[in-house]
Amino acid sequence: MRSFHNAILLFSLILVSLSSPLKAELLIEITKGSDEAIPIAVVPFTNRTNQALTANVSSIISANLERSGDFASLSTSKMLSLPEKSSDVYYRDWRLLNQSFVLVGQISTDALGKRFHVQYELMDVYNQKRIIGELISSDASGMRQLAHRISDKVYEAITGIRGAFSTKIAYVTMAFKSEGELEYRLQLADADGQRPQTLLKSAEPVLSPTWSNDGKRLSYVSFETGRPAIYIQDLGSGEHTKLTAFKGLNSSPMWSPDDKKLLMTLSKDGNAELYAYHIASKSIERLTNHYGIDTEGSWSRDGKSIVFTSNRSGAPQIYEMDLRDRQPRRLTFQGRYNSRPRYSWDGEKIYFVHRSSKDYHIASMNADGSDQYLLTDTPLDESPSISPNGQMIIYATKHRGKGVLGVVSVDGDSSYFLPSSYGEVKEPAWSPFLN
Amino acid sequence: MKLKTYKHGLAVILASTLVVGCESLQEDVSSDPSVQASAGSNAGATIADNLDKQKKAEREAAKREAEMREKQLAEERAAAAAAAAAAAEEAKMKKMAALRDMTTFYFDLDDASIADDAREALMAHAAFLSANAGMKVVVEGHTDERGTNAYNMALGEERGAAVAQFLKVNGVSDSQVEVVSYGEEQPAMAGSDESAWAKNRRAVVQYQ
Repeated sequence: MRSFHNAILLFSLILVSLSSPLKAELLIEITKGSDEAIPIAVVPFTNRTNQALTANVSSIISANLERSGDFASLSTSKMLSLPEKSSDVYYRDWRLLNQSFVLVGQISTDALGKRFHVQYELMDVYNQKRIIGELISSDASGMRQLAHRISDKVYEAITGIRGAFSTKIAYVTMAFKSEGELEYRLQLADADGQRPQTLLKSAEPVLSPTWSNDGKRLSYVSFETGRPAIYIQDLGSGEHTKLTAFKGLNSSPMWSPDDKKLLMTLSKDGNAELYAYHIASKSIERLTNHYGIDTEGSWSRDGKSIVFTSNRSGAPQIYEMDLRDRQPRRLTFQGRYNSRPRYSWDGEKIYFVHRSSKDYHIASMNADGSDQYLLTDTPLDESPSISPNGQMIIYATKHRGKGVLGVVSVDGDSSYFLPSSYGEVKEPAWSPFLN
Repeated sequence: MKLKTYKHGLAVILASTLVVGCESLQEDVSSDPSVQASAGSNAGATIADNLDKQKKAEREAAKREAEMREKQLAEERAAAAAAAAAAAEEAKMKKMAALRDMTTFYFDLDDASIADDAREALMAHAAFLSANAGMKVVVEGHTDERGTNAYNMALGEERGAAVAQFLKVNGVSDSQVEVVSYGEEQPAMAGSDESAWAKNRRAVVQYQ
């Protein structure tokens, strides 16, 4: 297990969106940045609308790029000029400031002042040319999404990797409403933690939210009837369907790549085993058979095999099982606790939870179990979920004694927290691409 | 004849002296001269007989009395024993009830085996439940916050199942016990240190 030798502490900065009228639930705290970050100047976009905007588009873009760990954005106070279009950009100035890229833009409105147009352009300072530019529009409520979309375009234009700033996260919060009275919430928010919505409130536990691959549904476990049951919630209609409520465990749902099945843990036949639930036929197929715990199943990207946690060796370890021969193969041998495996989007890696000599961390290994290393060093890390572009992992951790969400790049080089102002935050699930 | 008369007289005196305490017999011998005359020849045998009878009567009376006493003592002893047994039973019931007050059982990290110090109380629950077939319990399984939520859900189930199995092995029927795991979702004590974690790794027997 390697340490973070090439990581440096860049920020301990709390960014609060000053322009947003909505009270932000999750406040971002960058804990570690990469020393190989690309310098970019995001020039404040000129506001030509004669009205206060609902979101500060350029500062949202700047914060997004910064959080990815791949970019270091230049402070506005250091800028020598504030151009708003490519023809106003003096490349020499930006080269003196050691900037590789400059993003400029302006925001205008239609005659009624209801529709907002953002014209942006991205320039490559060394090659002295405009790379991309676009005019995009929305109403006032869509300004944050516009900022995320521009962030996605800029990120992809420079890195060649699709940006995931327009995606969403689902997570669970737990808070004491009054003395001894707990309230669990299933929440949905933008990937930066803003614009949280509550999908479900319950006095009983809610856990394990997981996205369908089409991004239209969530599956999760809720104890709202007093017993655990697996539900599907359609995000478009809000419809809430109970799938399974067998005696004992109904746990850890995970969509198959074609969204036709859910892998889940049931104990109806005696103890925790993995089953495939066929959504259309409502039939279930038992996949594992062992008196030890088998749980936390996750499909390979081609749906032909699964990885899961089993304590059949006496302690939780990660196993892979080809669904054709159904012979579990143990992948982890280091340490007494390795659990909750998830494949990377390209299927080459598995991210999981590893207990080191004294704490729990997110770790990475090749799909065959080789080359294991730690990605995080925060306390009590769990529930890793990978961004759809495969670049970041969101996970649950503790920060100043409170349950918060952390995000770490898949190379472990950069990370930030999304601390909550509301209760304990846990079990994050990063959505697939939504557009 | 003189001697005979004397002997007779002596015998009468002897008899009346000896038969003090048995008035009817003394009266018979002294007040009926014919009997005295006819009995004169075997007076010695009659006295011996009377003596035997008296002794027998005395023995029987003593025996009856002893039996009475014995019976009384036995009754007293039985009553005392019953009282002691009742007291013991009451003490046992009290102890069992007190044992049943213990409804939370703790576990080691990543472990679902029942601790030795939990067995006595679990036996008391098992005895009560098997004697009261209408009673039902839910055994809740819990874990500390460490490790992953879904794994902890399964670990909590293992803990609950271990307690349920203990009850069933000791006479509780299947239909009386249900296991519900809450994993790490419902800590008994807030906090992220060993004292909180130790309190949270538990199974709780909840009477319905």
